[in-house]
Amino acid sequence: MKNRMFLCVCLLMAFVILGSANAQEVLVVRDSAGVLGAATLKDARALVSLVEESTDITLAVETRHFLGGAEVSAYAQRLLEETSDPSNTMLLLMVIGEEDYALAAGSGAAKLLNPAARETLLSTQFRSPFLARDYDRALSAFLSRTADQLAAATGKSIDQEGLFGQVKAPTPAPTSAPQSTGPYKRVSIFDFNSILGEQLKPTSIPQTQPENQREDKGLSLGSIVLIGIVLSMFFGKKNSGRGGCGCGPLGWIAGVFGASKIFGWRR
Amino acid sequence: MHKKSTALLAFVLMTALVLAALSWGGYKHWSTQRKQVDQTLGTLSDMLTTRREVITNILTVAARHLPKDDALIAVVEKDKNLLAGTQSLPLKAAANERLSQNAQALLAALAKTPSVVSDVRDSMYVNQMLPQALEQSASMVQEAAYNAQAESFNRQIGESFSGSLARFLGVRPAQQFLPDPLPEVKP
Repeated sequence: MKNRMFLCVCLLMAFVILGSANAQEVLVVRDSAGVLGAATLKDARALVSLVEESTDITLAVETRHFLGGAEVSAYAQRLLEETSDPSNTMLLLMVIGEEDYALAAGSGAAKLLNPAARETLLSTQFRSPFLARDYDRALSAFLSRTADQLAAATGKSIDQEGLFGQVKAPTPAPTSAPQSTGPYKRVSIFDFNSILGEQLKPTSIPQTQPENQREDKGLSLGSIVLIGIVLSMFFGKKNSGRGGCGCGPLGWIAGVFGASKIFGWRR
Repeated sequence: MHKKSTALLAFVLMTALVLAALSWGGYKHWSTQRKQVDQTLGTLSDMLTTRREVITNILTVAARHLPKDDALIAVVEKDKNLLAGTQSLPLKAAANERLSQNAQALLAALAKTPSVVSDVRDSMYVNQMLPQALEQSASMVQEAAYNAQAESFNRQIGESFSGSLARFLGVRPAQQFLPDPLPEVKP
């Protein structure tokens, strides 16, 4: 009975862990730069779910302030490969401070929307509002039109009613931006990684030696005993013919031990 | 006579063996220690990469508002490239120090540029985010454990007998991430 209960608890914990992992994966619209309005984020996530249900294609969005010199297309491709299902994912990367963007598509997604179609989507729906810093409008127009085209390509329908119905007025700057006049209030915390190409990870600095590495202590006890025995063999009294207690080398060993201390051979 | 020469030979042999054992032990120990110091150099390289990325971001904003041939941009760009190259650590440390001053001067110059003043987003970058990132990256480089490890290694290898043997056998002191001291100017 106890075993069964234990098994049930283990299974429950496993489901909870798996559930939370999946919940994290669903959040594919990530606004690291903090430039999107709450309503846009909510609607974008809702639309992404609808598209995924209907077409099995995941639309992912990432916003960053800078990439620290990384090439935007290559970076988008790398982000795409980090998603749970890269072949059926289309990832839009918006780099706010560099005024650049890229769209990366996996093989499955590329079959439904070829490169020319993707380029057209970007140039007609996204580019102008993005460069005008109306990020909400740029994203909503792009996602909305992409959803339509994916639905058409798969013969499904996606009901977008109510989504992006009230797009915010053009936002000329990130939400955390201060007014252009007056003293600037220092932002105490910001996502340092949103301006770097390579995200910083906690680094481990070896502070202690691995256990299997022997510390240098000069002569070991074994070496001292061995040297003492060798010395006693060469210089010790010859006891041939007479019985001894056999403790002759002890004096030599003690001598070597003392000498090693005096001369610093042993720390 | 024969007994004395045997004893002398044994003593010489023993001394040679002891010295060889100590040298081998010392070499093994100090070369392992040196490898550990070199491992922390990887952390410093990561921090320098972060620093370069922050500088790249500053240059990205600067390119939007200042002429391409701006002297400060050129200086910052040059020192940023030095951090990436295969130069010695003292050279990189000197470039890193210059970057702190010049990048800050570049940000200050940008903050006064009318086009930045009228641009809310770039004002935020120039007045808040990038200075903070520059400061953070500088302190990350400063706090990288490499220098402390290298200094400790150099001190220990210089103080111990086995360290002297290891140096004799080719274990070199670690190079520190510090700029070379300026030569003394004679009046």
